[in-house]
Amino acid sequence: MKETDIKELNERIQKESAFVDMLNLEMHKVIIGQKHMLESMLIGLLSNGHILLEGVPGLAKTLAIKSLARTIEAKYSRIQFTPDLLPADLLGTMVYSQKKEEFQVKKGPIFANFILADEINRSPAKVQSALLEAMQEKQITIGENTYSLDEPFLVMATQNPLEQEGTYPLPEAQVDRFMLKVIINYPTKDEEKHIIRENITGAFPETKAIIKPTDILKARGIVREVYLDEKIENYITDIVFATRYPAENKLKKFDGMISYGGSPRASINLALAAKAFAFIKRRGYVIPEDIRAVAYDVMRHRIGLTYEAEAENITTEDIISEILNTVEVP
Amino acid sequence: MMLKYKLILLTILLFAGFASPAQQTRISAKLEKDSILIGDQITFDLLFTGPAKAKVNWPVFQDTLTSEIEIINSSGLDSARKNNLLELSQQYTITSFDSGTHSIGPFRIAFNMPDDTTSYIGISDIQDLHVLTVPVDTTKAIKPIKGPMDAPLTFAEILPWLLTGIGLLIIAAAIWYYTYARKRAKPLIPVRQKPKLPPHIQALNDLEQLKQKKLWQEGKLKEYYTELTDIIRIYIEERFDIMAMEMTSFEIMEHLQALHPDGESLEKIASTFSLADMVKFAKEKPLPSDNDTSWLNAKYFVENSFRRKEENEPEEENKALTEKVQKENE
Repeated sequence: MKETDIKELNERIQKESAFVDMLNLEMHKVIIGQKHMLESMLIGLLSNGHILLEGVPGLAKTLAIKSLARTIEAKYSRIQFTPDLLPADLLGTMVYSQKKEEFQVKKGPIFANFILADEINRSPAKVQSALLEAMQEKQITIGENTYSLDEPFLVMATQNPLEQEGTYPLPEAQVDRFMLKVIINYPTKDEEKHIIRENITGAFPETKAIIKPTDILKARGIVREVYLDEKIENYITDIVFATRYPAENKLKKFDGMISYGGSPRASINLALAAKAFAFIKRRGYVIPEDIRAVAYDVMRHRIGLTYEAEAENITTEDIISEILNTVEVP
Repeated sequence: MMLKYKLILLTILLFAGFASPAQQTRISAKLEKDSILIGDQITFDLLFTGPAKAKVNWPVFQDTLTSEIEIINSSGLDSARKNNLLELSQQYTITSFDSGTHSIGPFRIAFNMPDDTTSYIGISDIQDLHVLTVPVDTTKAIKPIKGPMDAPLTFAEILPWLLTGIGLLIIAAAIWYYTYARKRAKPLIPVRQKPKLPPHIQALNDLEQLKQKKLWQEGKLKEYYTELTDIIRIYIEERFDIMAMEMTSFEIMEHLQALHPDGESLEKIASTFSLADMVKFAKEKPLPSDNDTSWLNAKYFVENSFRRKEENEPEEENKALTEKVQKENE
């Protein structure tokens, strides 16, 4: 890529990413606070990745994805995962039509642009697998027919960190398919006061459509063009390798604390998410700040802890922080 | 009448001049004290004083003096000649386990004179020994037999343990020193190291070397800016104790603003970092004047921050070290 290309790209991004500010403005009409969640949703949307959200109930997860769908004029589905849910309830099934005297396809709620898979860990493995396969393949087979899912296709799955009884925790291989795992925290005091006032008056503002799904697909193309220098690639691999071989990367204290480190998917998603983050910041190139900004969300579910680490109350966030403070920035 | 007195006087003088051997003899028995507590030990001395040429049949006691008094120990027979008299003595350590008053003696010691078939006998005095019992308080309960008393530890008994302990301590200290020295890659016999240059001297030297390399003139812009920022980051790390090598440009500036409130200097170094990021991560090709300005900004920052330190905390020690190192380098 030549010098002029980056300049031209920067100019294009300045122009094409203008919707980001408008989208944020529109979303903040209905969502008070939760800036990080909204930013992560945009990263997922722009880099064609799915998001696993972890947070207690009542933090506006459903409202956020609903509002995002509305601002993009996209189709939205909310699926409540329960222990008795079947893959067919999710994907769709063949239904016999007496009128036509034949089996007809009845598509499931997964045929939408934005899916909120609420409490994904409440359903058994076969339902989880069905969803994760659809996320990966972007297509569904019902009977003899295969149907492609609509683009953009974003799955936002939620997990409740408090109630673990009667749940089916997602296996590591399936969690790895989510690009980001976002931890949602409570709003601040001022934000909470604002939420109370809005709920008491009952004046709930509504979002309006800002862009179309095709604009998102176009933006995704530009995001892929964002320049990622070799120095940044080295920085990404240094970080991911530090999760795999901590002792060789000046992190001897984590030796025996990490059961498995980040997979190559971690490196890919770190690069993609950083590109999307740079796009949101209206830049045509990735800088180390972008990597650090997305590192926690990309890697927290891709590092396995040993019993020793759990006994010492070490979290994956502690490990990521230490890695970021140890690996040299280019 | 006169003759009668003369005869009496003559008889007295005659008998006085020829005293018999038995008259010259004295047997003495002497107790150390006349009363003891049952089982106590005292000494008993038997002394014979007689003619110098007397052949004495000294009594031999086996285990007892009398049936109630036992001999614990006896000294050898001691003999001496004083004033033409023979003195024989022997000391006995005695005890008694029978309460009451026991008589010791009289002891009869027979002796002969040369050219005289008469056997002479000397008789000792009688000594009374009062053996007292322990008073018993019958009003109190009977106590069990007291256990054996511990003999006090002697130095000879402790010595082997003491030597073993000292030996083990020496071995442990040797092992610790060996492992500690190895861990720090320190030779067992330390070699004097060259003192490290103060950070500002090192940074200025490195900047001068960078200038002489003429990297940007050869089109190696990325290398030039990488080295330039590395010099500054190492300087910041050592001068301000900030982990600059593991921080992004933005984070470094955030920390510097809190520690080094010189607006102009910070502005210059911020613009250098910003341009360096563009060159390193966005393929920016600055003008030659910008490259020179970046170098000058870096130098200004090092000199300015060093001067500020000197003004705020004048360090004679630092100056002396600098001169010393410069001399050594020459």
